[in-house]
Amino acid sequence: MGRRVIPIEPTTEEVALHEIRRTIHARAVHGRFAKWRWMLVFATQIVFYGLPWLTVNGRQAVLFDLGAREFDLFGAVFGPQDTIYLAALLIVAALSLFLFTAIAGRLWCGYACPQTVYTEIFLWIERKIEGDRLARVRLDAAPMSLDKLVVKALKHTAWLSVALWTSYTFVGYFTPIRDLGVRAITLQLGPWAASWLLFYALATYGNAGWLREQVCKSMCPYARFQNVMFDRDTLVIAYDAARGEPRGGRAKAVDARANGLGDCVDCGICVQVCPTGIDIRKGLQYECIGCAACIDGCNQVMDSMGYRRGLIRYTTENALAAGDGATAICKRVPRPRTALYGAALLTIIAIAITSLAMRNPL
Amino acid sequence: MKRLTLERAMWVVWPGFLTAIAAEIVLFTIFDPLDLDIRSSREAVYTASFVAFWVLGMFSSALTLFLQRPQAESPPP
Repeated sequence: MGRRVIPIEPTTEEVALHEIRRTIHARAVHGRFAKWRWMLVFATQIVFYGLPWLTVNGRQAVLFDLGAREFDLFGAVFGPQDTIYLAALLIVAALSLFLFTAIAGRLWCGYACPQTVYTEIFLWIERKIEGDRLARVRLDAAPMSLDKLVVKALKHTAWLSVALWTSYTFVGYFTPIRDLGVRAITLQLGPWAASWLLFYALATYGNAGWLREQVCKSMCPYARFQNVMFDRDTLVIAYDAARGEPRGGRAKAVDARANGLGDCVDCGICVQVCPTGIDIRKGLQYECIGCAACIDGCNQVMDSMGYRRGLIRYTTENALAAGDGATAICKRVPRPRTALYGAALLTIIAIAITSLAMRNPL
Repeated sequence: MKRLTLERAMWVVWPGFLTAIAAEIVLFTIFDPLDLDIRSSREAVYTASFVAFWVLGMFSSALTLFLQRPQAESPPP
C-alpha cells in the first residue's frame, strides 16, 4: 500500500511581522455538527472552569501545587518522585490520540481542542458585538470612526475578560484557586503569580482572538503528522466528487442529471464557512481541522434545492470509492493499525494502574 | 534579506515554549529550589528557569531556521 501524502501547499505569500494576515471572516453556520461542537464546548468548559473549584476533604480536588511541590488528585497525593506517572499519562494521552486519529481523523481538532474551543467562543463574541459576516467585513474596511472605535473596544474588552478568567482558572490548577482569587482582589499577588496570570491571559487573547486558525496551520505539529496515522479507512470529511461533478448553478426545478450536472451547485458556501479558508472540494488538505462547518453549510443548500444531504460528509477514502455507507465503515474499524495502537494503549494503562495500586504513599 | 514572517517567528517561539515546559518538569522532579543555595522563593526559581529554558529553546530553533536558509550562490571563478 503506497504511503499516503496529504498535500502541503507552500506558502508563497510573505507577510511582514507587523501585519497579521488577512482576517478570515467565516460565515456563520448552523446544523447538526455545529450543534455537536457547541455541546462539546459546553461540556469541556464546564469541566475546565469547574474542576479547580471542587474540594475533597476540604482541599482542592485537582491541584498541581508547584509551591508546595505536591499534586493532589481527588484525595490522592503525589510528589515529585512520582513524575513517572505524569510521563505515563502523557504516553497514554499520545497513544489515545493516535488510536482516535487512525479511526476518526481530526475529531479532536474540530470538537475538543482548546484552540478550537476558545476561538469558537471568541468568534461568537465577535459575531454578537460586530454582527454577521457582511457587517464584519464592512466594519474592517471602514475608516476609523467613533462608532468603530466603540465597537472594537467593546469586543476587545469582552475578549480580555474571557482571557483573564481563563488565565485565572488555569493558574488555579497550579496554586489554590480560592486563595489566588482573594489575593488578586486584595492586590496581594506576588510578582510571579501576577506575571503568569497576565502572560496566560495575553496568550489566550492572542491565540483565540488574533491568531485563530494560524495556530492550526503553522504551529500545531498534529496537523503535520496526521498522514502518518491516517489510512484509507480513517474517517475524514470529503466531497463526493462522483456525485457532485460537474458542478454548476441551476434552478431548483431543473433536472440536474438530464442537463449533465452533478449535485454541486457551486454556491461556494463550503468555502465561506471554512475557518481555515480552504476549499474541501479540492480534496483532503492538511489545513482542514475537521470542524464540519462545510457539511452543515452544504446540507442546508441541499435541503433548499430538494437534494439528498451528504454531498460533503464524513466518510473514508475506501467508502467513498466504493460508494459504501456507515455500516461498512464501522466494519473496517478493527484492523491491524487500530489493533496495534489499542494493544499498546491497554498495556501502558495496565502497567500504570498496577504500579499505582502497589505504590506506597509517603 | 528575507523579511521575517509571523509564521517563521512562531516556528521559533512555540517550540521553545514546549521545550521549556519539558525542561521545567525535569527541573521540578529533580530539584527543590529551597535545597539549592539560592535565596529566592520556589516560584521565583521556577519562573526564572522557565524563562531561561524558553530563551535557550528559542535560540536553538532560530539557529535551525538560520541553517535552513538556502546556500548563497558562490560567485563564478
